[in-house]
Amino acid sequence: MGKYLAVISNSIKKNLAYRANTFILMISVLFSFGVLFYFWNSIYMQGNKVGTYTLSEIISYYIFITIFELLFTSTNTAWSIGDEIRNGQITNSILKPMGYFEYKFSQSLGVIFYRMMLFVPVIALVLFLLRNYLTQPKDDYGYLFFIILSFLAFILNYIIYYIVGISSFWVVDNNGFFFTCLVVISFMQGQWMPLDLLPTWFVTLGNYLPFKYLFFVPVGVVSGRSAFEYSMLIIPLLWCVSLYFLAKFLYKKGIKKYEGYGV
Amino acid sequence: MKDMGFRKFKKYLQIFLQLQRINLMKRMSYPVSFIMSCSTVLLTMVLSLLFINVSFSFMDNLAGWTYYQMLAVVGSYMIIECIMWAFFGQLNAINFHIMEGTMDGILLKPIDDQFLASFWRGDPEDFMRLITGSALVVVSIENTIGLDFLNLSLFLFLIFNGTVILYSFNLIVRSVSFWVIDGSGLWLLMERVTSNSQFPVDIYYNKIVRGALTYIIPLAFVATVPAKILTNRDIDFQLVELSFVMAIFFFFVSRYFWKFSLKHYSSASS
Amino acid sequence: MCKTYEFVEKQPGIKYSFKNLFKAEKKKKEAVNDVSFSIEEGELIGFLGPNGAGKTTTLKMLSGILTPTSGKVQVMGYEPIKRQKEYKMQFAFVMGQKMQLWWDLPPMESFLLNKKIYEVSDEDFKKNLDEMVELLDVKGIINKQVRQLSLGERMKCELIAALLHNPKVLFLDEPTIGLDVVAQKKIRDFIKKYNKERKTTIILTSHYMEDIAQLCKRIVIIDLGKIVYDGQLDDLIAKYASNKKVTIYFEDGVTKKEVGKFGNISEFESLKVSFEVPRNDVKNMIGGILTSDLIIKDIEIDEEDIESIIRNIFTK
Repeated sequence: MGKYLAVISNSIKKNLAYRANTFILMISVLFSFGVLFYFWNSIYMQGNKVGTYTLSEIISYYIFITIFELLFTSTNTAWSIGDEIRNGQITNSILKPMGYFEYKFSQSLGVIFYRMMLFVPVIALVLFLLRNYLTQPKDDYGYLFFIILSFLAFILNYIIYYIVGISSFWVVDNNGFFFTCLVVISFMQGQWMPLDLLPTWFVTLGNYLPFKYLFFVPVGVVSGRSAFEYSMLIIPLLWCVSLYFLAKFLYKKGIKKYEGYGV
Repeated sequence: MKDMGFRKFKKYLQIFLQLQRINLMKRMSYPVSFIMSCSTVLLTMVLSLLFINVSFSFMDNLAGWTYYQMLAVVGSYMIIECIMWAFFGQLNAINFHIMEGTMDGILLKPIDDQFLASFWRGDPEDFMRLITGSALVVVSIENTIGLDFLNLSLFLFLIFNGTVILYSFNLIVRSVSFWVIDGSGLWLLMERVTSNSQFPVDIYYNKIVRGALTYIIPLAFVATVPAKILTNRDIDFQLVELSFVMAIFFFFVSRYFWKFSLKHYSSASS
Repeated sequence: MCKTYEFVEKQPGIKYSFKNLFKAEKKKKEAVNDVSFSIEEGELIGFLGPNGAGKTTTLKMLSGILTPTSGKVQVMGYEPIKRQKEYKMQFAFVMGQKMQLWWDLPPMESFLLNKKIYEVSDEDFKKNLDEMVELLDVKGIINKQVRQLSLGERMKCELIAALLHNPKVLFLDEPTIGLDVVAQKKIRDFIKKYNKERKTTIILTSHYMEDIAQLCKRIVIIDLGKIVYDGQLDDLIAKYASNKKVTIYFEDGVTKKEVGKFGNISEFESLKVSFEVPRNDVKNMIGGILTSDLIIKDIEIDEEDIESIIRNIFTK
């Protein structure tokens, strides 16, 4: 256990090293929320409306999406795995007395904690300033459900990006592939626009994929757009489990191939 | 004297071409990846368009901009972003070299360092943006005032100015890395701010904000102004003039700040 | 004719404390303090010193990357920090740890880029390229991607890229770092030959003794930002090498106890022992061993390792 904690704390330290950048990041996050709010407010002021979303609902949507984007995404996992495979560093990880999946997970946790340290104060400030525009969950325990869903979302997010990263065992230049994955995933998790505004065939397609549980579903619950259902817990859980096994399988296959050909 | 100027121009042109060739060759050494990247850029453009379409299915106009006029705004933005990515690589190379310590190699070459650092990296897959951007502009022209040579020429001129402005802005933000080494946070902020320039500045009801976006961080000139000129019979020549003045002003400010930051960089220990 | 001339440089650096996010502890670090020297055209001079001694900082001031805090730097009549184009056209800087070649492309593409940047004519380019490719024996690899080359091959190509424009001054920062012994030798031979034939002034930094010993007649030793020695390598050995290395090969195995009384043991194996013996005592020491009971097979007397000479200087 201690070694995982060490990895987490190293990850945090590494990120804190750039002090000025840290402050700049905090300010820019504040501004990002401001820009977001101002933009949608302007649109609605003109009398426009986006689908069935009221002003508060659309602002809540994008605010929470941004919060998720800031705190819970593990895209860096994919990139760092890709780098480690490319420059041979992954061989060191094999020699360490801990699983690669668990190792990267600890690193990812470190990044998350670092981000929380930075951004939670800013986010709290934003939520306070915009409290009149935020919508509430439909259910009594809405916030509790939201926390559980977020936790699941984070795990699922990590596993998905881990798999994307592991693909580097087979893909020679991963820039193109990663880029494609990033764009597709970010769109399908609802980062660009609310998924329920898209044509029905698209929505149906999305139901068969795990991505909507990454952002869209938790955000829907906390902003009151959707009532909580138990399927929201079970389905992502099933995805986590099956993708976890897929991840382990792929890693085993990949590392065998990798060591076989040498660095 | 004139001959020297011509030789210098030829030298810079040759270096520019060699860099483009290098960047293209880099991509071509992994053809599958390159095709994927191109497709993804295309996909990104399509999704942007989808967003616009979805939005406009709920409203007929956005602050006075009709759907086809809006296409001109988005198209202009795509064209300028194409140049920023394909030729300048969004100036990512500058950040990269400073962090890796390889900026020194660029500074020691007998050629203008801003030129070399700016064109060092380019992403050819982003030429897809030019295709989609131009397509949108063409559709927009057809559905608004039709082809008018004066409007079109001014439009191209304004696109050029918009590019210069965005480039200068980007350069200023990147130059901050000479002071703090990892300036990526600031760029993240700028990216969010500039990505909003694909919406007409008129959506902001507050005069002060609109003013700021026109005179202080002149994002209005990136997409809003070119689109306005392109799709309106009455040409606001003052805007055209202003766009030109802004471009020149920001270019010199950014160049000055670049040189100033370099001076600081060479006095601090690396 | 004086090619390079320097006076005094001083350079403070600033260190930030990483521990505390909200308080920046600024400590002044003097990377180079009062370094003065002058170099003639065509010299092959080596800067030696431990890591962080100020060697790289000195090179950076000579090339114009860093501004000295005080003092004057002049190379070929130019002030490097002014970064004039004419000056840049005449020197090259190769950094052993930072590559300037494009990673995913063959070195040839980087050569072509440099050709354009340094305004090298087609004839000169071909001539220089062919000569150096021949000397370094890299004909087969200049059209292979850099990432597929070994470290030694990469370094050779880095050198070629730097020398295509026939610079008058060449700065080499740790050129053989990380290379295997064979590659190191090849690079050294090339540098030696190049300096001899083209009379290029070469300033080389290294923490490998062998680089300096093989290449430089004159060495400058820097430690903690100050010059500790500046002069001919041979003089250095004569002045500071107070000891000689005496190696004795024994017929039968010996123990440390048996031979310890003859002198300071620097290397020990049961059949072969090396001693550090003060110059004046060598005769006596050998006499002593020969008249003892131990059966001697062979004796070698060498100059002291340059490593230990340098160590002596630092401990004085």
